[in-house]
Amino acid sequence: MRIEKIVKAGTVESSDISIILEPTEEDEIVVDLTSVVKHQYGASIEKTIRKILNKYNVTGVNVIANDRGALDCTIEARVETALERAGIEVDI
Amino acid sequence: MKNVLGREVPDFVPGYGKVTPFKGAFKNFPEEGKRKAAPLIKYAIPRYGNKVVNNLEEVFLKIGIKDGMTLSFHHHFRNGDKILTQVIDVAAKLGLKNLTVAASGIMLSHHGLVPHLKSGVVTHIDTNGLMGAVAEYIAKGKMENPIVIRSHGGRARAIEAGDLHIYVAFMGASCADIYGNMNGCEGNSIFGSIGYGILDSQYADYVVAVTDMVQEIPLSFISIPQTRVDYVVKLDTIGDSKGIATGTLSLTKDPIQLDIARNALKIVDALGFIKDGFSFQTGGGGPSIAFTKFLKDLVKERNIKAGFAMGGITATIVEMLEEGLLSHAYDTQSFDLYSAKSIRKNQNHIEVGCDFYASPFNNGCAVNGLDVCLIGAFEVDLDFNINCLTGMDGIARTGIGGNPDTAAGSKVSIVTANLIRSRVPTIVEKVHTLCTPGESVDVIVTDRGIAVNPLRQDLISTLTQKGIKLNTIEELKEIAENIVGVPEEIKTTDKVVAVIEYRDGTILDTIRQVKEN
Amino acid sequence: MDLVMRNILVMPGNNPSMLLKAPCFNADGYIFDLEDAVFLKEKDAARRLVVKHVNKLGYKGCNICVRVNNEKGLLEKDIEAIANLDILAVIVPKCENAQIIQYVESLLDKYTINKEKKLKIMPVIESGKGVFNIQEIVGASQNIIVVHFGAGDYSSSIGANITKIGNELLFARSMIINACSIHNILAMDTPCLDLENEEVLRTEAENSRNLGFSGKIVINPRQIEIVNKVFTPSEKEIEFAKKIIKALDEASSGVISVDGKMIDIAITKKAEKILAIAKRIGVL
Repeated sequence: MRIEKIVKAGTVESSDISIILEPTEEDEIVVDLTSVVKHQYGASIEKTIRKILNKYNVTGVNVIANDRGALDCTIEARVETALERAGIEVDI
Repeated sequence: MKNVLGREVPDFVPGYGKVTPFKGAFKNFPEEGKRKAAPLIKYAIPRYGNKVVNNLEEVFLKIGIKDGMTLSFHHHFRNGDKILTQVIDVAAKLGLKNLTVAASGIMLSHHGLVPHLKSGVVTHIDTNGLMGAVAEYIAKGKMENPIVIRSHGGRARAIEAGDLHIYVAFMGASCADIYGNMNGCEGNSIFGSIGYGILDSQYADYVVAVTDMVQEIPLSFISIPQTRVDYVVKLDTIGDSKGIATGTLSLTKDPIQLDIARNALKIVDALGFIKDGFSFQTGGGGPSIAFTKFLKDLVKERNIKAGFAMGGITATIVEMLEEGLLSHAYDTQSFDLYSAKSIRKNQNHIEVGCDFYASPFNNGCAVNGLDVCLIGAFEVDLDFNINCLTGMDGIARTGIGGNPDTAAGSKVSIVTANLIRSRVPTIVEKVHTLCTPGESVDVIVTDRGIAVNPLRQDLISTLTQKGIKLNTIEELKEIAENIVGVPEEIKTTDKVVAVIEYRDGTILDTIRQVKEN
Repeated sequence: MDLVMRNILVMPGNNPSMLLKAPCFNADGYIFDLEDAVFLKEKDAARRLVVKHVNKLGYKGCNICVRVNNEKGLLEKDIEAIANLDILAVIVPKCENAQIIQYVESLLDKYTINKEKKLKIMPVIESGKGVFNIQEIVGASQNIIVVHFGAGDYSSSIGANITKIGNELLFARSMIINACSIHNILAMDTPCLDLENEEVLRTEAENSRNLGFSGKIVINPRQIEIVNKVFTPSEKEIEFAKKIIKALDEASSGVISVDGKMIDIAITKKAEKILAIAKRIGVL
């Protein structure tokens, strides 16, 4: 599944993550991650983002993620909200 | 080689020498029959002369400062200090190289040191801690030689033992007289106690008073005496008094920090310490300030009088002195202007040097008389080892202060910390940088639970009897990880950028260059 | 009902930092707010964030309540999202009549999978109409456990000016407390908006307690300590209550007096209530 427009969710407040999804021509997911806890959780954050996108079969997207120490549940919520805003039906 | 805590330490450090690995908090002793280092014998013609020289350049030339020498500084202006970089700028101008900066602290205002590290004017650093641009430069492995980090007590020991030989001590003073007497509590740029400079001035080959106020009449309040001072130099600016209070020295409004402080006090009370003559060191962190405030209220309520307070002195401690709730305070560092001003006028507020405060190699230092100390930590591991130096990015963000000294000396040491910082858990498998060995760390109070070191079964049984709910450190780790997930370790290269010396002169740990990601 | 709620802390539902810290504030209850504290365009984000946090962090023993949007479209979505969370209650703002309570009940019935875990309801009374209809509102469901009073919207709905003394709110407060007392449910007073002056908060809380409120809504964690102090039975009150119960146990018949005070059924009941609260919060 592809998204049609640029969507955004989350903030750069402490413990939050800002997620921007940009549609691309490619068939892959590219994650550009900035994080204050990149040493400790960089790989895990990217994994969580990809897990949600894969769950809804979303591809062809650039993810610009600016993380301020968000928990996994926050990351999931923000990615799902972004998808919902792109018109994809997402489970609650 | 590995030390007793399993930390890999080098055999030899350039500019520092042969490494003795850490063996245990009270396992390394001074060499039998060894004498203290001694300063040079000096002579002055028996008439009051004038030691004032025109500028720093003249100081360099008169003393004859050469390549490779060690220059020392205290950091009582904290983030307002303007002396260190001015002095090194002059060294650079004179074409000097390979200098060692022995500073009791490298602060944010010392970013001007970076170009001199790049150009080789300064090639060694010996300090209690570092932050800002210099810390970042060093963490990235850009200095050839590892820097040396010592606690306040450890620095005093190193100076006394001759391990840290200071050629010139540039001692910032808010006021000096023309014959070299100086203090930090008169003048326009006051900072209070000059405690971190006292040992430097006693053992350095040359001592320079660096001030923005020189008077002809000899000072009445003398922190560093004329007998030790070679030159006096007046600069337009030496530091910003406002800088001494940067950080979080006002009472926090964060209810979680207040709660941590309350719980720490509850523990101290449950252990039966709150009585006449109680001695404590609390410091300047958020929960510490709040703890001191609550302690003051409790001492007042119980109508008792505490014995002595040690260490970084804050306004609340001075208020305790003034209200007769505390007998006296030993001050190595004044954390705010209120306490800086108090030294001069309150005879129970006593300025002391770091040997008296915390050196392990003398007939007994003040921390040995502490009932309780509150210490901070970025990380505590399952063995209760503390990292109070490097942050989430593996870069130093502060100094280790007297953390290992007070922990070793006091009857009970209590760490106060949030269990989760940003997303990172405070309790970890292994601390990134080991600054204080777990054997001297007794209790950790967090916002999500309290744990006591299993080495202190006495404390565990008293606290349990008093109905205080305790967790094991493993449980605290699990509580945090259930929320934030298990963190990965910070990745580093093999390059050692700093060695952490324990107060007894052995090496606890190293900091390695952070791998960029 | 053994619920003790001296305070209930409002937290913006779209703020992950607050949701993370929630259990550390030691509040008696929490309001994860999807309503006023969340911008209209962030309602979707907040709803999802709250659900994810409750599922992940659990908040055991924290008395979590979610304040939903009482607006067509949003109300249904909010309740569908939270109906199966392991939380205490749904807070329904702007309640003006029994119908809205019944509608919320029907939505809960529709979405709740485990009927035994159906959420409790806490109506917010914040208009003249709501105050006027308070009896039918609190009588509309067995599931109502707490009523909240919101003074801001209420005073503007009746055209009153907010004053320090609060005369303009007395009628509404008393109406709510009276109705709650009939149904044996708790009443929470409107929050204090002055975050700087602790004395204002203390006075407000004391007035609330004297009127019969069980607790006060707090909008900043810093307010918890003072509010708790006011709504926690004092040592003196507890001692007196104990004496009364003891005297009752020992008395065979006739008039009982404690400390020279005649003890009647009302005083006995009050003493029992104080001891129950003290026991619940662990000060007994």
